[in-house]
Amino acid sequence: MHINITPLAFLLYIISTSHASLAKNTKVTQEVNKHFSGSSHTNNWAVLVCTSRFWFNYRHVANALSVYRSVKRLGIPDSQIILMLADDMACNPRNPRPGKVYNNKDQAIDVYGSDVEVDYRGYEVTAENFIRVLTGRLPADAPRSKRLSTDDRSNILVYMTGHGGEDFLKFQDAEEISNVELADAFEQMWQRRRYHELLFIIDTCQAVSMFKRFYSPNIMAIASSQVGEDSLSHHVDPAIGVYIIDRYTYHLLEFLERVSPGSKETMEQLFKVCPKHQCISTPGFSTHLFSRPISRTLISDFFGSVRDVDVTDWSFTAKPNPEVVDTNKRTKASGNESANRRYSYSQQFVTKDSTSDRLGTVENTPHPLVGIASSIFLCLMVATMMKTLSS
Amino acid sequence: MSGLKKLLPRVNKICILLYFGGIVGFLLLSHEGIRENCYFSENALLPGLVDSKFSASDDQIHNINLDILDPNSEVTDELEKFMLRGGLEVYRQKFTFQEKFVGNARIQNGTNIYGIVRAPRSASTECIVINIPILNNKHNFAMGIVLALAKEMRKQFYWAKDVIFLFSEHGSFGARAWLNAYHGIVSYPVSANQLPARAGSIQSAFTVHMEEDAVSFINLLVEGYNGQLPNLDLFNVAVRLIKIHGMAVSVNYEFVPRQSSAMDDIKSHLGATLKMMKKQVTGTSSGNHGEFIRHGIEAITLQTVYNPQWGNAGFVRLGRVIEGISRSLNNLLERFHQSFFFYILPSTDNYISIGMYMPPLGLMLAAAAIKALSLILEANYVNSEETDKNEETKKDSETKESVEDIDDILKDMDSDYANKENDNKNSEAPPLQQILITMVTSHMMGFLVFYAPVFTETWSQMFNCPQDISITLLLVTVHIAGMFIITSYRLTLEGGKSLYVVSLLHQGILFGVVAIINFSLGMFLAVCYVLPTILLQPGYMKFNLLRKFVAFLVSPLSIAALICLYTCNGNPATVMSEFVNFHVTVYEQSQTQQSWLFDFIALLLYPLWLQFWAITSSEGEILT
Repeated sequence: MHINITPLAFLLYIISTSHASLAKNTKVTQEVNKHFSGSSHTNNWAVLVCTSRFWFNYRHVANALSVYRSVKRLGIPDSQIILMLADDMACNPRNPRPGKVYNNKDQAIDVYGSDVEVDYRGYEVTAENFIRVLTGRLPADAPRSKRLSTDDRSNILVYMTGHGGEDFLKFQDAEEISNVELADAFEQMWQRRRYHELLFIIDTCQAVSMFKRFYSPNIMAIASSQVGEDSLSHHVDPAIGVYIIDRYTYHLLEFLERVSPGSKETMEQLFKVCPKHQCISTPGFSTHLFSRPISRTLISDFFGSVRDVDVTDWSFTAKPNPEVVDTNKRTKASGNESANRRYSYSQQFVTKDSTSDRLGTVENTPHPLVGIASSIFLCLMVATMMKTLSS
Repeated sequence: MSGLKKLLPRVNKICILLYFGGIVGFLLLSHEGIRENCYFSENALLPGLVDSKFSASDDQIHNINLDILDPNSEVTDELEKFMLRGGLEVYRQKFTFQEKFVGNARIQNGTNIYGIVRAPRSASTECIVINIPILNNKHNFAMGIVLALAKEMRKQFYWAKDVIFLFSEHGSFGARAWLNAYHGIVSYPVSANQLPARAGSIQSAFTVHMEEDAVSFINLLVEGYNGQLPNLDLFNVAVRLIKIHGMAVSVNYEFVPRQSSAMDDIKSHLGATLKMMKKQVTGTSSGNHGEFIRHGIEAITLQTVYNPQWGNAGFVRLGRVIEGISRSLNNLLERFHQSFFFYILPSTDNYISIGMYMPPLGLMLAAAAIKALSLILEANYVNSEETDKNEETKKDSETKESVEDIDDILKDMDSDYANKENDNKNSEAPPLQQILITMVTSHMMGFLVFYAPVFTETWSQMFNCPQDISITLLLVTVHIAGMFIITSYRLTLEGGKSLYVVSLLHQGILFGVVAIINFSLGMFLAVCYVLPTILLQPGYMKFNLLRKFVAFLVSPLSIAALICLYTCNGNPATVMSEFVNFHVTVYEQSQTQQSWLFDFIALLLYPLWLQFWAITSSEGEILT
């Protein structure tokens, strides 16, 4: 019997189309993955806290101010940064460089500068005020600069530095905040929808103990030292006569200097900052509460405020929407209408229903192998049919 | 209880063991494994972290010193001129004082001059004081350094506290006059005018004492009055700064490097320890800083020493040390309170804290307490035995039918009239009464000794001798008179034993309390007194002469004589003058410097010793 070309050709055709569909499936997968691990936050906030006062704790103020500078440089505006400094080093009578705070003995950058905005200063930096800021339970007359006005689409960076111990952080030599209180504060924030994702960085002694009690979702934590270890200072500035910056923050800043506003550096690289041979203490991390993989979480999700700008060349005319209620002409009828409108929280949890609402029929995409198997089966069927027909 | 009873005969051995155990324990504290390294407790100090900005040269300082030494002008005028040129606020204070009380007791005058560098950016609520004493017949070369430093300090704006440069005359009298006026206190025999200006509460101070125009190393003086010491952190700051600037530092002129052989190491450290204790025993301060410590201001004296063989470190280095200490003190937020206030220094890098040196003393005083306790227990056992015996004899007398001697009958009836051996008029007095009478008498004798020096002048006129010899004679006479007066009241055996117990406890408490305030004095007294007094138990008449000799050996008089013998190495001519000198110095120090050694010896130690002396003359034999 002669070799029948037609079934072979048919087979080849089937294989090539299944390969094409296979390729098409990978592209879809990529698209899909971007939706999963790309962040969906819309605004960035930062809460930077230095909890220690007195001249010999100069380095803690320098730490907080350095992170403040980096975060501002990467795009977060002052209105979205809460800076809490427990003491005024720049105007301390012992400061040989009045009005300036340096984080390096080469005194290259004045991290205090003329445009610093300290929101909580001196004795206002207390554990109570810190928790009130986080949870939003401030008195009605608190100014906007002292409020953390975040919503459920805000990514927050919380950086804390000072003297700490096992399970506590010392505030101002007189009080302390425990890791349980901090975890509860973050849970309050979660339940009140005050953050989308939160990055918690802490540079104190025995820092890991502060984040080990966290239980709210979407929190990532970095600590500069393990329990039982001390976080050490980096170097002395002999012109000023103090230890000027801590090791972990020094290396964090070195890393952040390489980060520019649009960079694609990921958290995985941030976690490699200051290994034990540089820091002497061993940094610790917590990612089990975080939903996205760290290799796909960008630094700029927390440290910067990346604002995508779409330039379009089409125009549209804005038409008044007849459904919008004009508040100036509020009548009794329309008042009732607005009172009857039901409010609801937007979806935070990535559940089955919610993804089907937003992202399309993702799970209906067939597995690529199914395509190959079915096409092979189909061509076998056709081949046998044709054989029976021909014979 | 029977175990205790078995121990009672061995109580003397136990006490001697405890005594020597305490001494050995104290000596071992200087051992490498036991002594501790000095460390900083105050985080705010940040010693030596900042670079020095002292930029005057050796020549400039030398010229300033030459200007001050100019014979045509007064030292105070020159100082005023330099300080005004440097831009400081300059003020003067006049004061009067009486230096000698025995001999030509005249009132002298003095002037203090001080300049203030005000803190440019803070309120003048706190200050530090740098004291440069104006020496009587020499020149304090630190003046040049400090004046150059003051001029530079005035230009800087990182001083958070005011800095006062105090140039005081006449040693501790000038410092005391200034401090008293600063704090609004009057203390005899110094009287001072009110200060024209102040600068807030003094946080810390240090004195610089430079007698020659070159310096090889710096000796630190820490002892204050009556056993007070500055905070150990201040000492650590001074040591650290001196080492950073490359100079050698000693304490009590002892350099005590760690040595390879353990024996040499412990010997050298022990030598330094004992030297420091020797200085503290008399309760006088080794420098002006003692006056500051009296007011609760931590202070220390830096004394420079020059040895041509060792070379000259130069003025500038010393200036940097002074500046460094000032900057470290500038960083302080509170007064020194973190580190130790009670310590002994075996070297500049080690310390022995109160927690380490009190237990050996406790062991020695425990020896005295255990001896007293053993006597009480013994008395209890003897009493219970006697009552048993009396009951037995009573039973016997009831069963006996024969006629007995009147004496025997009376003895059985336990009558007082039967005791013909103790034909003492005081045999009726209960032990408590004997104790009270003896103690009151001994303390009255103490008062006599305390007030005796008031009669020095009349005594010297009566016997036509200089006043210092007369005061010595007076004290010796009253001492011996007291000995005779107290023995005129004879104690019974019971009274003697009870007084012995009370005196042992009295001794333990007294020395313990003194040791808390001035440990060196307490330790010295314990070493001298505990062992002999354990051996002074009454009731062993055949050793009476020996006991009296031992008791006399530890009398304040003989201890003074022995000390003079030791310092003079047995040369008889100098011993007498040394003896006289000793008494005069001790008395004068109590008057001029308010050291309480003389008061303590007269009012507390001498009466205690008199009680022991009375016990040695008590009669009665313990029937074994």
